[in-house]
Amino acid sequence: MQENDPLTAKPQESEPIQEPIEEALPQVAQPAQETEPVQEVKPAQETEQEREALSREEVLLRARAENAHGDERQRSQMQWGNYAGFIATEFACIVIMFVYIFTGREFSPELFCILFTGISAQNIVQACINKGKKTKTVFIVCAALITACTLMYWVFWILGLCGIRP
Amino acid sequence: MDDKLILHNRLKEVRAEKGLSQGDLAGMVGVSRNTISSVETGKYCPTAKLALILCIALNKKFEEIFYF
Repeated sequence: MQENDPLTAKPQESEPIQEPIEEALPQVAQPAQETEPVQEVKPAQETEQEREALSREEVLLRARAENAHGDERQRSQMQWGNYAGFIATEFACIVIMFVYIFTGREFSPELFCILFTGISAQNIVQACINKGKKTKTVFIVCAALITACTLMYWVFWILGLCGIRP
Repeated sequence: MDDKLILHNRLKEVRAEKGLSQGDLAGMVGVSRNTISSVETGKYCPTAKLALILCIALNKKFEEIFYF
């Protein structure tokens, strides 16, 4: 080809070098592109078929079953209520602790028993409800510690009532 | 900065077209009547899941009920 066209040698010299590379690249890339989608398309088609298979009645039936124990709005309201209760109990405990530390005022042991039991219950509830892994573990640890402290406090208080002071 | 995108809906109109009460729609979807009322009045913005279920229940496209 180069020998037959001496006048147009320059443009032809550059073109044949580029063409084989350009042609060769897609040839290498094509088999890889063809094989991968063939493997991935099948599950995607299956899932689409499954989605299409869900009829209107089936969707509504499943939705009713899911919302049998309260819909999403009610659940979020309950969650906020739980958080509010938790914060209120913790806040009450902190206030009483501060009053106890700074003023030296003595509170009745019954009040502490009720307060600690409340905090313990709140922590247990939060540990059960919470879905986040980190917060769940934090609540579980807090619940375990506070429940242990509460039980100890109850035991000491009952022993004190009986006249036994360990 | 205060111009937030608020998802409005025509749920009340569409429900009335179909001749359904709030209780009927709530029963179909499995939510409380208060939830339907809250969605209609805009007090509660439903999740994508509930919004789509409402669309399916009313045989409407998403954009026919919900808009900005």
